[in-house]
Amino acid sequence: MHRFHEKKDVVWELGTDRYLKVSSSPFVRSSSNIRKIMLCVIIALLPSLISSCYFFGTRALCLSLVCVASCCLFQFLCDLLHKRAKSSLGDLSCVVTGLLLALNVPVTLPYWIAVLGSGICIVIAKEVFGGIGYNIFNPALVGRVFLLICFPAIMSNFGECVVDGISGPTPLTILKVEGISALSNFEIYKAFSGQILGSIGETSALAILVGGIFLVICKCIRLVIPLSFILSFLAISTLNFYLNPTLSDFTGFNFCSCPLLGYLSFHVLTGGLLLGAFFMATDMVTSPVTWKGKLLFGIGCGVLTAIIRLYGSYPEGVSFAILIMNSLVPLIDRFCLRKYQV
Amino acid sequence: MFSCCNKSGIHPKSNKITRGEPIEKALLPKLIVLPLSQGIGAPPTCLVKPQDYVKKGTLIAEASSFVSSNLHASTSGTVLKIDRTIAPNGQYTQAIFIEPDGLDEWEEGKNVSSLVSTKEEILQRIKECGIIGMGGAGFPTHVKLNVPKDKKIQNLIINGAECEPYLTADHRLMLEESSNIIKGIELLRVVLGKDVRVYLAIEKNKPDAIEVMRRTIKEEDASIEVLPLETRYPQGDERTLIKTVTGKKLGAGKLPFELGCVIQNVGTVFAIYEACYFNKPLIERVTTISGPAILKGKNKRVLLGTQFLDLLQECGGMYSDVVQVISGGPMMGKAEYTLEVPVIKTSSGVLFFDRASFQNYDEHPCINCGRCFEVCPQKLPPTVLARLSSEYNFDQAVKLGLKSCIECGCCSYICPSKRELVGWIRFGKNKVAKLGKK
Amino acid sequence: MNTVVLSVIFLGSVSLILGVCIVLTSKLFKTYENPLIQTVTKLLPGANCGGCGRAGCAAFAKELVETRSTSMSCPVGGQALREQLGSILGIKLQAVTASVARVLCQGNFNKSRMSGEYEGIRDCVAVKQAMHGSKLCPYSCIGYGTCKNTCKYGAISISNGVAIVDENKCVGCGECIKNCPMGCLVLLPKDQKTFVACRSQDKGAITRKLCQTGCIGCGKCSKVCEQGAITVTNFVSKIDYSKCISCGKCVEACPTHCIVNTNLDNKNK
Repeated sequence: MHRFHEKKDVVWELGTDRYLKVSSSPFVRSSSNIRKIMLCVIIALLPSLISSCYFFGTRALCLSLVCVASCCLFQFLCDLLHKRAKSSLGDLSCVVTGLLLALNVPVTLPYWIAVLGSGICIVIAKEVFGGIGYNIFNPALVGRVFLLICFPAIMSNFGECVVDGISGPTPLTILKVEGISALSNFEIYKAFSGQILGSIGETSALAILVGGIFLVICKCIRLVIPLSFILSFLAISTLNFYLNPTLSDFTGFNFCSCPLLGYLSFHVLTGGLLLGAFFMATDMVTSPVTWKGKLLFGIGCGVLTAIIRLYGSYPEGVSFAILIMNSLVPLIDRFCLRKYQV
Repeated sequence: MFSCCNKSGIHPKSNKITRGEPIEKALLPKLIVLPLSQGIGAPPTCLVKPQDYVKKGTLIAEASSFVSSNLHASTSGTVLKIDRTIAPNGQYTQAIFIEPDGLDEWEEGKNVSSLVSTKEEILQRIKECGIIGMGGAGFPTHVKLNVPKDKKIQNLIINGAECEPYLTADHRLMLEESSNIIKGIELLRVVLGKDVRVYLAIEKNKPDAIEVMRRTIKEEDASIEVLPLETRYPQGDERTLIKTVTGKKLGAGKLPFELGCVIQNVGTVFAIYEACYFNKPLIERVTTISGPAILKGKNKRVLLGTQFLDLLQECGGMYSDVVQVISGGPMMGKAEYTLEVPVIKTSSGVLFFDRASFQNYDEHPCINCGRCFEVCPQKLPPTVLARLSSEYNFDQAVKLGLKSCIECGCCSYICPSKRELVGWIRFGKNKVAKLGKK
Repeated sequence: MNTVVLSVIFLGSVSLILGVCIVLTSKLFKTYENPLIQTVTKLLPGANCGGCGRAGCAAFAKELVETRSTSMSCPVGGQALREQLGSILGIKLQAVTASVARVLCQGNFNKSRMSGEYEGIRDCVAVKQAMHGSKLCPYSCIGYGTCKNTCKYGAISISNGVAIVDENKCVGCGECIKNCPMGCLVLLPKDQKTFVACRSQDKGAITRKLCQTGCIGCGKCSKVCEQGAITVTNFVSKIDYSKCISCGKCVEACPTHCIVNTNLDNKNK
């Protein structure tokens, strides 16, 4: 870093009315700040956003913009209400919330419902608790679950994939409603690249992985939560696979021609598991601080997701699982802090 | 992923701009201000009164108890007054003001060749010369070396890590006085017993110092192991060093000798050498004057009691947008509010920061990122401790290890919300210490 | 019909058994507590301020009932409470003079020389550990409101960097005094309205340099005082409250306005 000292005056003593600043050590700080972290998350979400535009058309982009804009607007209004001296728009966390909400809704969602969902995210889930850092639940997920419960029909109309024109229910809904046999000619590369139906951001596993790896490289998230989430989910699914003999002749996803691997990869690649594991569960504010706590949190998320997906009446359980585990975070933190006691 | 929970510490920009500046002798200032209390321990009793004439090296204040150290005049001149001054820690303290006469004349018998060689003599000399730990805390060296009889010292660790950014005083000392430092180490070996293992810990960002020390050790045929440390703050902290060398963790409130270790700073070792070879009391030290707001950063051999104002003259002045003056390193130092602060035995550096490098107080809410947990060298939960302290919940904070905090500042450094974590923890420790006394 | 009878019998017997259990447990595990303690606790202000030196009102009540010591007092309750307690316990509690906390500093940011620009935790203790104080005078109020935060009665406010006690709200519990890192607060008798709002023991010239409103030890106050109540020791005036009649002459005579009479101040307003 070059400084141009030439233009500065050189003095030998302080003037009479110049005061030196006194603060507490350390006097050097790292350059990381909340805005940078949020910016990393936004960048990491861009692949998913781009792929959603590719698979669902420009409406996905418009929907995302509506969500982000309305989240920012609600944040601005809340700042006014809180009479904050400095607007918290600057830390970009509302942009992340808006983006995550948009990626978690179907492409057909009417714009007014998107605005309503954004309002729920920012006002109810975040600002009522005191703003960033104080919220218990992941704001985007609260918004999504609110919409899911209030508008179940609209939230399960996933529109049409513009690339190959498929439409109808998501693979997970097919599994729940029609059973495993209906999925026998499903192909793995489609699920991996994103040619399936679902919320606009959750379909392309590839884009999510690219973003997730970026986040890990930026040290914005630790791999603990995603890995323990996915692995514990897989463990329960494997158990389910062996307990349920009808699954053993699952022929979709022809993955190494092994029905178990096919079944597992089907569960990982469809639905919101990857998006949830990399972007939702790793939200710093609503996940535990300690390494051990993160592990417990991830395992809890995975197990709950598996139970809701495999045995519950909803086809997908990632949102519910993460929200339930969010409510347990203070407890987990408390439990994990015991080891510090001397 | 798994290694993140074992590694702690941070990598601040080292900014060692003065690493190539040879140590120069500072000019004689117009006024010498010697605070009675220079480090940990009871302040010594003043032996002089105004208008007394003192010479360089005259004992002017005598240790008042076991944990206390002597103070000597750092130049010849007249005692002006004994009054309060602002010490580098920001507090008012009693000090002896000396007006130098410019002759810089030594007291008789001081600074002449007079080698001592037995354990008792060396300890006595160290005590007489008022040597204290020059790394930071300023614990009297003779107390540190006075190990209880039932404790066996296996490791002597010489601390040349100098992990704080900007500071280069120890680095330069190792380059320029390598053989004398080794002579000092040999004296310490006499004190601690022949079979003590000696480690010289140097951070890897000082390859020249490692090389010079290794070469000199070979030439002198000394059995000292140079221990290159990974460049990471706070590598030079006492507890971290012990962990690196012995692999054992030193509990809160325990002293290093309980694990069979004695740690001495390179500067202290050099002072011990000067004391035992030349009967030279600790009246000057090497100090780094640096920072973005100083015209020319330098490493100076400064007389104790020189005010920062006079140091400024040596370095060509400071830029007018200076906003902060720090004594010590930027991680653990203290911010000063006046330049009429004297250099004391523990001042390893004087840093001048300009507006661009000043950290504004700009706290955001904690976002639970857990980075402070990862960097804490003591494996404490900093954000929890800070929160508990700010809520005056000191009992719970002490249970979670408040007292083990070494105030290294890693948590505050790394915090993306720029929270005053170590500030609150220090606040809590202060309060707990006060409540404990009552 | 049968069902009704059966359920009545069943439920009746269950409740009977449980009732017997409750009676038994309450008899078995009964601990005697003097009912007076409860009564006394209810009478006390209940703020748990610690002004009496005990760990809260319940502890005070317990000790008072058990020891019946006449010297114990609740500084908050005052005369009315003392009489009430006395009549319940059948003792005569000694009268104590009500006190009020006074800030011995008026050096606000305009009048005193500042030391440095502090940025950090807004708490006097934190300021004190970073620097000596917000002002150069070593005896000055830091003005970052530790006393204000600890006062349970909302009696302290901070105005331009110096604490001000509202004597009508202050109950003299002394909590602020315990927490002030500088020792700028003292308890003085409540009925005495005149006090020296400075404790600088520096020589006059030094005090003058550091603060416009510090006591310079000039002795004018002790000269004008007809009661001979004021003495100057260590360059600071001291009022002997056994002699002071709050006439206010010293207030007028003080060249630096460091002697304050709260009555006069209120009238001027």
